[in-house]
Amino acid sequence: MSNILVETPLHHMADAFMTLSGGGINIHEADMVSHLNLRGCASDSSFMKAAQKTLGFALPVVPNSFSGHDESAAYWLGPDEWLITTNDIAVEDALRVALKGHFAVTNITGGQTIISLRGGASLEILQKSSIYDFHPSKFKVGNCVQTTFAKAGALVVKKADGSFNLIIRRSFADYIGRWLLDAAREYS
Amino acid sequence: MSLENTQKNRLAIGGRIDRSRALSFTFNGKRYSGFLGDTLASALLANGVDVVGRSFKYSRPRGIMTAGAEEPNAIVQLGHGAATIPNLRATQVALYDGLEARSVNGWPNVNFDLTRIFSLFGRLMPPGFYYKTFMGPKKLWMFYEHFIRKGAGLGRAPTVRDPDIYDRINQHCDVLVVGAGPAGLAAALAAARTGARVIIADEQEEFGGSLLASDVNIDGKAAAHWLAVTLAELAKFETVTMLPRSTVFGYYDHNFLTIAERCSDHIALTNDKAARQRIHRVRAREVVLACGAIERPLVFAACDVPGVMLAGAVSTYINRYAVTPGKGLILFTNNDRAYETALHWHASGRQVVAVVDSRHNPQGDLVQKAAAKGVKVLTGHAVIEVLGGKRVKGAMVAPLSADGSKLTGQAKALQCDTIASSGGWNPVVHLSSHTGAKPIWDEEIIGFRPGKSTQAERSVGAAAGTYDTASCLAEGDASGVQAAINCGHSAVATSYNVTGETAAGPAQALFLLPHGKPTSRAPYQFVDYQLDVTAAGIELAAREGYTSVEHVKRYTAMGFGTDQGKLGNINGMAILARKLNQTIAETGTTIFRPSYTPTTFGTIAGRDVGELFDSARFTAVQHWHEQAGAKFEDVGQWKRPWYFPKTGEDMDDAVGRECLAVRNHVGILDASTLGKIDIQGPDAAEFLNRVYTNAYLKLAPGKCRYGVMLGEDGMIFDDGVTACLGENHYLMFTTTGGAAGVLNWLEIWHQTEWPELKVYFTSVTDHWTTATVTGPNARKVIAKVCSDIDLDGDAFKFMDWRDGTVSGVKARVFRISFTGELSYEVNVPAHYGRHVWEKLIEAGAEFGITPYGTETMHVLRAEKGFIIVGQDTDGSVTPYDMNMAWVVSSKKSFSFLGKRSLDRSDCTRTMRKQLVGLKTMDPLDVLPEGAQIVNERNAPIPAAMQGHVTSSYYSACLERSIALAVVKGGLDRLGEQVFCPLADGRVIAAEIVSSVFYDPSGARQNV
Repeated sequence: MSNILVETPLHHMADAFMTLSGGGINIHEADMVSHLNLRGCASDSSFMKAAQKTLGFALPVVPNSFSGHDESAAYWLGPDEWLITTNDIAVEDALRVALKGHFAVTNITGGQTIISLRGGASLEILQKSSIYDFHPSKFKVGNCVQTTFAKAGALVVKKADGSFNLIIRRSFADYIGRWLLDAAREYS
Repeated sequence: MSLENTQKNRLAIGGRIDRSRALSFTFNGKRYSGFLGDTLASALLANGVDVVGRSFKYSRPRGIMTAGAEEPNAIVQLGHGAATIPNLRATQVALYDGLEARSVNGWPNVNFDLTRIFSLFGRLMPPGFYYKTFMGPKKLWMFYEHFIRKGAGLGRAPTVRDPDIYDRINQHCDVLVVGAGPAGLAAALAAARTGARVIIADEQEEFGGSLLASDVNIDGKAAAHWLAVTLAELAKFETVTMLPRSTVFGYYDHNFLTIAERCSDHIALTNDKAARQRIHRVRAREVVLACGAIERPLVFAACDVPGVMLAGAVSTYINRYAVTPGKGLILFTNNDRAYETALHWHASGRQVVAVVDSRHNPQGDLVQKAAAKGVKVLTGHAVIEVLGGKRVKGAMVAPLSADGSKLTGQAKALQCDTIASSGGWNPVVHLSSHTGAKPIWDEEIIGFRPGKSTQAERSVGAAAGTYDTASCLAEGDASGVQAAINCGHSAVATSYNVTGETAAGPAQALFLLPHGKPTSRAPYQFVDYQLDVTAAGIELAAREGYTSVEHVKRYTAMGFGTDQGKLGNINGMAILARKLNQTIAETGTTIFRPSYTPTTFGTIAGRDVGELFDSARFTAVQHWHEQAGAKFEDVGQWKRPWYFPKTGEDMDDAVGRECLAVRNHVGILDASTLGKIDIQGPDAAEFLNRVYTNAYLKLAPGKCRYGVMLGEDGMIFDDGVTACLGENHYLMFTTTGGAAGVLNWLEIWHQTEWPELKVYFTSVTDHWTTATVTGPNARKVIAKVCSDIDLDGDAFKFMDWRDGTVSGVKARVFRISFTGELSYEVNVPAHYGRHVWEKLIEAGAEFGITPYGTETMHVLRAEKGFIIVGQDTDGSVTPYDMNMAWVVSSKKSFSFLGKRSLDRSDCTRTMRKQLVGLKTMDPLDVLPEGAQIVNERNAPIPAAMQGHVTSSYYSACLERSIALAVVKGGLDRLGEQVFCPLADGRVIAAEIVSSVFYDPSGARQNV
């Protein structure tokens, strides 16, 4: 398989993002991980338990929050919908085996990517891009939100180290990448 | 060279300018100097520049009248070329070194009279001009517009792309304070101390408002010192955002306000990294409007001669900019506060000729103070006419009756070069008015107060008609406390101890001064300076029967200028009220709209310009397409390859070649943009059965089915193939443009109507790259890159799909076809998309694989009569209209969406438009899409339309043109001739034929 070319949605912007570094903002596309969309009933304790057992942590039930850690995380997208990101490709099948009844596990790895946004200007760049209130008093570590981002959408995540992740769709990645480069220019 | 030498009106000491930082600038081509801290207006006044523009209608010379946003005359164009900015008020332009400004009106130059021409122009435009012209024939407006635009001098928009960067930022706060004078600062401070998130914005170059030139002491500190201490405290709060040079220009629903921040306007024009201006879009829980008041001039004959200024503005120029804009002053007032101007002028060492006070017996402290300084005060007098042309030379002063309505004696001339005029103050009710609050006339303050709040806002300080500093601070503090409490913070009140304030006595309600002649015969008594509206014009409007203030506004154009009548509107209303013998309260006021001051389009557009104007979506194969020289077409937000021209080929050549390659060899299309929805759950099949017109319950794993979705009205909404991936698991393909709408549609029905169905929908559009390999050689190409799928035609049939491995990547391969040829749609996760695409190209090389784009796709499907939803359909056609009765199942146990509507009488009537093919009599004629169809070549006009062409191409394969059309009763009219009259006068004859032009039996795709 080593001769198989794998292209992340923003592979072509890595150099452009590098030109920003050193200023108030650091932007880069995170290493590729698996993205799974999980649907199921949060009030079904057997579903929740099976998911927890497989993932090693509980699915978040508080709106706009996420659980997990750097290697694997679950983001609340709706009352019966989560995004799982994981660097363990076995999780997809493990979930299908563990979960019973009415549920859906859908692999959407190819359709998404994660942009890491760190540095003092991150908040202002988010403010330029989204109408959501990302002020630290409102959007705290452990929070995530699906919102408009420029003229596209993003799942914005506040990480434990205070930096942000943007989880975005592949087809919009180039536009969002160019938008970020433009918005970040004054801080570079 | 001594800079002071050119600045004849600059005082040696005082002001907030930095005399160590001299700046050089040009105005109307002439070079001047000023200092850091000047505005363009203060620098012009320092240099003794009297005429800064010409008036709109009469071309009268005009000078600087004000020191703020209300300036009607000093409207300038900044810079040149791409970065030029029209319509700025010189009073709000911070001076910087190298600034270039020109008057926006006054061609060929402001000092050159073209009296004859302009008096003609004035006669061309009597009051009511716009009104009458708009009511009259349209032709007349076209004629006038040419002259008006030329004469109007509203500045010139740059003709090339603006090089500046504009930015937009979204803000949220607990309390937004508009205005940073004493009331605003006290409000911000009170709120900030509670921990509330506060934004305070002020349109001026620096915070402070009236405190920047105030003699009072606050808590024992001089006003300027208290200001510095307060700003330092505010700056320490992380929760406080301070925005000087920032105009809150709009107040919208749900406490949403917009602020235009001038980030670098005060430094220079262009910066390649940072924004010149930035819009803040603020969602505030509470709003404090402390936006101050605008002084109202008195209306008298020739009150527009340069040298007539607002009294407060004269004080501002003296105190803040160390500019005394003349030698000899007459102050004309109806109130006490304006006396400060006489005192300031006197203190600057220049002569106060007289204070002319309309009141007969003013007693206030300031009046006494002026008298004590030896200033001559003429009580019970009025300035009734100004002498002079390009600069005030004197004033005609006459005794006035106590009620201000008549002159009681002869006028005499007093010499002066400056007349400071004060008719009282108008609270800035604009933002409050934006919310729909109707301003209320208040006899006590002789002005309109903000109306009853409709949102979480309150007006304080001068904006609410409170003019003394102590009360402003108290009101500001109370409002800040209340706003913070409303946001859930706990707050305590602060009291300020203000000393050194002079109490003001009662003012007189006085607007238009009488003249020796009646208003209609007196020299122009200007009300609205920007649009040359006079008292006589307003009275004429009343005489002609206009009694509503809104009608009078439109009749006279009062308040129509870029200043929105900030200076003149209230006077105009008072004049109208008097003419109509009613009160101002009865007359009312017009309502203000955003923007408070003009806002550049660049600022509003922000970063959404050029390539970032809209989001663009790309597939994983985009870079290959670009390298292959593809031309792109917008499909929704997607950029799709349109065609792949080879050197020397035009579009027709390329599309013809691509079409023939698919029909004769093999082609490859990037179909990744098609919408894809993953559907799982025990009720998935039932759900599909309800949303599609045909049956899905028996679709087996490994099989695909084409379906059509209808709206509730029975009209075609989307179409596509759905594959059964496994038990209770389906993949639905939608049209490229319809993907989001279809997912929405499914969710709406699931969530609101059929929540009992166990089914989940997940968009997987972006996850998959889809490469369509199609043509007689398609199987050979796939066979080279895929060894684990039995490709035999009997094992892997048309409308089957298989899991397999393509070039080492797990793939789903669908045998579905939009070309009518043998087709394989290879789907792989998009991160492998480019890899698999390139391997398919490599594998296909020996078979002549040809990449093709959307245009070829369109031609090939039209040859087969396959519809494109949104092109051949327009939301008004049923499957029956599209000759697709075969896709509608009548046997399903549960109804399907739209079924009932198909039985409406209109859907079942004859002569509905139906999809047919058209063959032009001349095979080389290609009908334009959209062409109308009639029955007769020389049909009299209006002709009865029979339908229109929906798709039309030249088919290289059939060596003739083909078209799809919807024609009334078309399916019963095969073989008939119809005609398409074209815009160029030609009439093209065509025969109605079957919509399937090629391989009607479908043999080619079933191999």
